Amino acid sequence: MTALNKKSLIVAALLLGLFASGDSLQKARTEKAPERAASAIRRTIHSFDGGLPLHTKGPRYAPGQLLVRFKPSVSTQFVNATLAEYGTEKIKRISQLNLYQVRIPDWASVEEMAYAISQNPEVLSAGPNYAARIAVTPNDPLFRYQYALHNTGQDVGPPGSPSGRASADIKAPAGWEETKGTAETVIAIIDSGIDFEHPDLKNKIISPGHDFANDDGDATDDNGHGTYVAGIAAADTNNNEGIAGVGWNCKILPVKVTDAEGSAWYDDLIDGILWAADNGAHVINLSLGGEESDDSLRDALKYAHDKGVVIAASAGNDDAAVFYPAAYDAYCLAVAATDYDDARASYSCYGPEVDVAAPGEWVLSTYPTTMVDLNEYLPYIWGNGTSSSAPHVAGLAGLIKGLKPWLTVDEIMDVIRFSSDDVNSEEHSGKDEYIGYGRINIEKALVPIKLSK
Amino acid sequence: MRYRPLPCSALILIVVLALTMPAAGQDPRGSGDSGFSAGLSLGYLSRALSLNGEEQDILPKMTSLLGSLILEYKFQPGFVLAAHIGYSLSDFEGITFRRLPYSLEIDADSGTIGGILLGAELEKSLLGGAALGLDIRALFFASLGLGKEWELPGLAVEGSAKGKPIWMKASAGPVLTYRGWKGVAPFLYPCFDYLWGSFEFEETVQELVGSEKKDIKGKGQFGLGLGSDFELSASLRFRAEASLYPHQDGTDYAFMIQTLFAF
Repeated sequence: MTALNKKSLIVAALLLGLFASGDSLQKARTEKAPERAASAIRRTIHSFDGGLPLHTKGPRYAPGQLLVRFKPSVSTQFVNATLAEYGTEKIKRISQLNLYQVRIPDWASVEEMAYAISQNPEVLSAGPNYAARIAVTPNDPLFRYQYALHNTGQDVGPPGSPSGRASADIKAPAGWEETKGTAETVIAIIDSGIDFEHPDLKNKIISPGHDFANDDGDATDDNGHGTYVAGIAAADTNNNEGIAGVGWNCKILPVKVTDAEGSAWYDDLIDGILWAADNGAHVINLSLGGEESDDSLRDALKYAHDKGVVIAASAGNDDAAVFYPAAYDAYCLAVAATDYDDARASYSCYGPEVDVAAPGEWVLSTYPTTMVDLNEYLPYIWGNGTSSSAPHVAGLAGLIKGLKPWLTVDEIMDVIRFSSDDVNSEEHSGKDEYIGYGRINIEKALVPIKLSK
Repeated sequence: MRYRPLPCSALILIVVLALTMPAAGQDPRGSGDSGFSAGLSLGYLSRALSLNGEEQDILPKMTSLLGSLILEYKFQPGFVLAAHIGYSLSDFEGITFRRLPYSLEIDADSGTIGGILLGAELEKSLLGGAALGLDIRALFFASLGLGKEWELPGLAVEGSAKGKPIWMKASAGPVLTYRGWKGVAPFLYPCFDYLWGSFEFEETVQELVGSEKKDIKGKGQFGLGLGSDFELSASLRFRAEASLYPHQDGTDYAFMIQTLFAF
């Protein structure tokens, strides 16, 4: 690979600042909010609560219990006699509703006893005492800003930013109920490196990685883009710190291929892909690309694909044809960008190679601690672009890989494609060139589908 | 289907015992010396299942409605063999298939799956003559699911899943019958009971295909049946039976009614 002549074409990391759109990560830092106030989060936000309790799996209803509601006119004596008749034992009465929580005999099942009691003409209803739960919500204090993961219609950024539309998200909490991924699943971030000291990343990074831009073994981020992308894919989650990553438990392998300006030569990119595939990556995120095709780049993708690595690549931010390597359709998922309203981002590249979309506007993620004044700001930043979209898909691929390690790369790619929500079906029904099969949906990809007659 | 040594050995033992023991006293099925009878059987069973130790969100369960035609042959007084052929309607709930590309969950809303029902029944008197008789009985039923297809909702493309359950049930044990009353013979049937089988799913979403097969097993391996034979006329008999199957998570049950006409 070193013999490969460096091409004059540089690979622009899809830092939106490097593309002409005004929606760049850098611009988010410098323009969208004066003096970074909008893009970095003020320390004062630290007064966030500790997050909601964590959901754990449990029974659907209380074993051996029923809730029995009698008609309002029915007397307590009659209720007691009736309950005794069925061999049940009263636990609690909610008088306003004439509702009784009862314990049923060991020999009876909840369903059968519910059916038997509901036949009594004085009974309004009888059924299981169902369990209610708070959905999986990580305790990361900035999770509430991550509309991409869970959109409640909240403001997507600092005051003055737009509000999202409820459910225009990738349904991460529902998906996490099925799996939070495994620590054995490794997502390689082939980008500008990673901040190894970032509090939301340092425990997720499995090795120093490799720096192909400077030919050394230190993949420390000198641009910010790689740290940002890594946080979306797999920031330390439920650690009472910062944000949640899509691949909750997945680990990160840093591979630096761009220079401090966010540009890379194809040979370094090729080297990075091959190195990641040979060094334990199960998923590769490529939030970068160039306009030129190159057979060696394609073959590097094929090499990783054939080794069982799922690749998510940003489609590009030029409102033009899909960039490479995303355009190598057979070997990677080309990811377009949607926004907090599930609308396609205007700059998102398009073409038949687009497989899916993921939120790419006002996406909050990690930012190098060395690039912000930590006395004043938290090391997080809002960014826009398909760079933000691809790591959502990489995180999902990591979750699937951990949950179903027996699936092939192509099967995982199909699971991601076919479980997407066709959010632009009114204009383009079915798979289209703009968002492919649709905006990814983690819940549909992971949670068992209930079969109904 | 995996080989099940315990129930098969028990069944073989019962059959061998039944064939080698001399016929005694009163006939467990009617008064004729030998000949054919035919009739109908209707049954219902509700069984909690275990899935090879797999944890499920809720207790997996199977209920099945069984209807069959019976052809019975009495070889000699006190020794009958019957064959069943019919149809079963089985409902499953609480079973999740997670090895498919898209995991699937079968629950109470998933509908009924039909199947061909085949069965055999053997009954032989061991001790008779007095008011209390001791017989031995062995039953075997197999429901060969015909399969059911579901559309997979919510996906970006069309997809479907086909489920096919096959289950078998074998029971064997002594029958203690009171024959002191004319025309009515109540009985008690403590038995070893084993229910096993498999449930297979095939999923197809365009070129994405997957299949998963789960072994199922009924919880509890002992049952207690309580029933009665009614001799309505010299050629018409009726049997009703209820069974309980206790296990660590509760008690399952089954009901069965049969009517037989002797030629």
